Amino acid sequence: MLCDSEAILEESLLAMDTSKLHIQRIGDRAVVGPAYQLEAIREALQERGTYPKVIGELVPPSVLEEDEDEDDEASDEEDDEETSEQEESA
Amino acid sequence: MSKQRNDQGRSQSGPLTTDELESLFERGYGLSSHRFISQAWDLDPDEDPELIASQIEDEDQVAERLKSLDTVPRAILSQVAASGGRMRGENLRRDLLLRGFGDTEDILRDLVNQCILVPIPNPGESELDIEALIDQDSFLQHDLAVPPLVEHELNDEAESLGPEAVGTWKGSIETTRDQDLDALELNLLHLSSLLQQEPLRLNKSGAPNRRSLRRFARGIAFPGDRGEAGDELDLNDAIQLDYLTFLLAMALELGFIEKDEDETVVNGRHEEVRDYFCASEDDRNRRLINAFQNLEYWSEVESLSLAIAQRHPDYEEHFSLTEPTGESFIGARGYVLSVLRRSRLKRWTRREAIVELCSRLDPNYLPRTLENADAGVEDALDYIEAVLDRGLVWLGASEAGESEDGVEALRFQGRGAEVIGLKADSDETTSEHEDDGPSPEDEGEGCLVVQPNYEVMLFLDAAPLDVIFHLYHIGERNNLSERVANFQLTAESVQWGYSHGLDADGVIELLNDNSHAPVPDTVEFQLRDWERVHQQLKLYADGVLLRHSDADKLDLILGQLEHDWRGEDIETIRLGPSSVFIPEDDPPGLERVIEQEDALDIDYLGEIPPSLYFVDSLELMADPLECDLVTLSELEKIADKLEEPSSEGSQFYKLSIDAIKARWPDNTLENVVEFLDVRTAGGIPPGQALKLKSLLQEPLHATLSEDVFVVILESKIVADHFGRVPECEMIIEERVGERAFTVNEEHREELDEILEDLKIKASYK
Repeated sequence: MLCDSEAILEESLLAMDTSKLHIQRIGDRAVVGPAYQLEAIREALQERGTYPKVIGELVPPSVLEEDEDEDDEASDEEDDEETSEQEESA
Repeated sequence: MSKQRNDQGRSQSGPLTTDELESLFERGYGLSSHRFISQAWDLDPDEDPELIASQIEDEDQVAERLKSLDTVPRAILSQVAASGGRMRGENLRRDLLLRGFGDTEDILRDLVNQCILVPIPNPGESELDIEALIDQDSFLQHDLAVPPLVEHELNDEAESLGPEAVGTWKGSIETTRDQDLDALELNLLHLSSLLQQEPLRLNKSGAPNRRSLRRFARGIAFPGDRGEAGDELDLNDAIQLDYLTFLLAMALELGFIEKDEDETVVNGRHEEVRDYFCASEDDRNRRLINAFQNLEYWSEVESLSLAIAQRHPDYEEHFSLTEPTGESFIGARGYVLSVLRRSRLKRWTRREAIVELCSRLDPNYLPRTLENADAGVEDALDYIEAVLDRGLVWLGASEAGESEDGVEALRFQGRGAEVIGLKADSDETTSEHEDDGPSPEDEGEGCLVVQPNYEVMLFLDAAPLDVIFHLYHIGERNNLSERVANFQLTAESVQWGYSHGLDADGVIELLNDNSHAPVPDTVEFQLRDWERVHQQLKLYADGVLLRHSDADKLDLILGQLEHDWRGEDIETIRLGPSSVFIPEDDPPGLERVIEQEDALDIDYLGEIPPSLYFVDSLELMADPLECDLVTLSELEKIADKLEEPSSEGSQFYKLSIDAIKARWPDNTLENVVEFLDVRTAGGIPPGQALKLKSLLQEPLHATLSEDVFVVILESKIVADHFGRVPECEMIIEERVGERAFTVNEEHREELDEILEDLKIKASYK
């Protein structure tokens, strides 16, 4: 990831949760990491409303490492019975 | 001479001439046929063949007979006439079915009875008995010919006499439902564009989570509506939910969306959506009908059941994107489509006749396919109706109408006919294209207005699909009503488009080319500014990071590489004194440099070389330029960097037990050992492993015994016996290994006595 300025890089890193990423900052404007993490970085930036320019072909998700244990927090509640819908519409 | 000619001509082509008929009376027809034909043409049964032949060539006779015909028999004769005056009976019946006349076997029989449609003996057949053919219902297995005057008279009528013109219904047909493939495509584009930005969650059943689905479904226009669902959306309405399921199933087949491995969420796919919506109409038509035919996750049978409430479908299963409810119908669906493809249903045709066509054309295939599919559909007619009344309606390929006397009719026109693959009729295609709206040159001109408040009004009827697609790329559609869609250009939406391959120049050109008025200056300025902001951050998807501790040496290596790249457009980006990034996955010359410099080659998609060294108790050393990024970043999570004695080329870390536990809360020891083992040259030292085990799990224990001596027997068997001697059991403190025991010093005398008693000769070390 290459930024125009140090400030933009700082801002971008603050916008992302880097704890699960294997990245290393090199110099004032760049962060490097394995290519398979790019999609995750892009998604993290997009979630914060930053849409970086991507150069080159993204590495397909199939090569992602196995150890990236996913938190199943996204498995929100299932559709409840009619009641939940009614509650919502109410 | 003429007889020979006619013999050769039998069963070939053309109407039934007098010469041919006379020769058939000599060879071919039996006496009964002679009498039958003669009587049918109002002559004595045993009339002379020449007279019979002249009777069927008599203009008054033929005119009178044609005059007395109803419209459908006349249309049938005109079909034979248009085919040269002669057709195989089965082919004639099939063609009439395909034209939407329904089954005409009875009318054909009547025409044969009147001998205005005359069965011709098959090659080699003699003594043909026409009455027997009629009785045995086998007249369709023969050529049926009309007299030359009939052929001449009706030759031009075939095309003008479709089912709509022969009194199948009263008055004109009023359209009750238009074909609307464009609406389907707009819905697919809307859905898949939103799904590229946010996933759709699925329940365990595979059905879309309705709260999640609601976010995408509001902008969908349901069939027959001219605006988006918006406030009318009700996901408890099974029909609405069914249509959304159909859209998702189509999007899956078209490759616009994909399920994740666990089948818990559905995501949009950018490339596939772009490929489709920027493709030609012919290509899109082909992909649409293929996707429809191969629908796996939606069943027209269950859908129609829902619509007419015949029976309550298995609710979750039908709406599931993981239960292939439509898969078992792929063969049957393909059959119905293939029949329609061969038909000539561009004009209004009774719906019942189309159902009949599909069931009769190959009467055994569909029931057999449905039986093999074992999908619970017993009657082929039910399935055909499900395709016609639901599948093709949702697809938007058919147009429905109703006559004044309530006859339901269908037709496939324009794009609907092209999607189905109906053969083009030259006269129809010409007239249709005249009504097709704007020509390709005109299309797109002035289909949108860009307003200074960054809103784009798009007039859908005039907008080419690729323009709509690109607007979905750069804007958020916030309204659809009466064929006008409003897109809001925002910093996020435009930058999203830029991150997916667009640029400001392209967007401005697209808007200007399709706008009624030039793009306002403020909008143009903002589009360029958003691009500037967007380019402040670049992600390079692949490339090589070249590092060397000596900046001058790195420059030298880079110089060598650039020398190799002369003439090639390869960029290098200096990240720091010891690091250069080359945005190429395999730059020329790199392999030679690696070999020449004996450099470390780390491939992050391959095996990572060991780069850690244990230097002291739980202390590690790593060379930051030699160590891969994954190892280094993990190390920083589980160890504290030691400022002393770290230097630029060697960094020292002390493993932190608390940090290790935080990094791997479960199976901590296994995880840390596995991590260190593969990254340490020679594997993790045993002493370090013991220390980690002791610190991470529980302290290891050792017992130190004093004042003991060890008795070592010569073999395990001897030791086993020795240990079981009662006197020995009393003095042995502990068995050590297979052959040895420890005995406390205080039992020394007792041991000596036992050994003597057992005749074991002891020696002392």
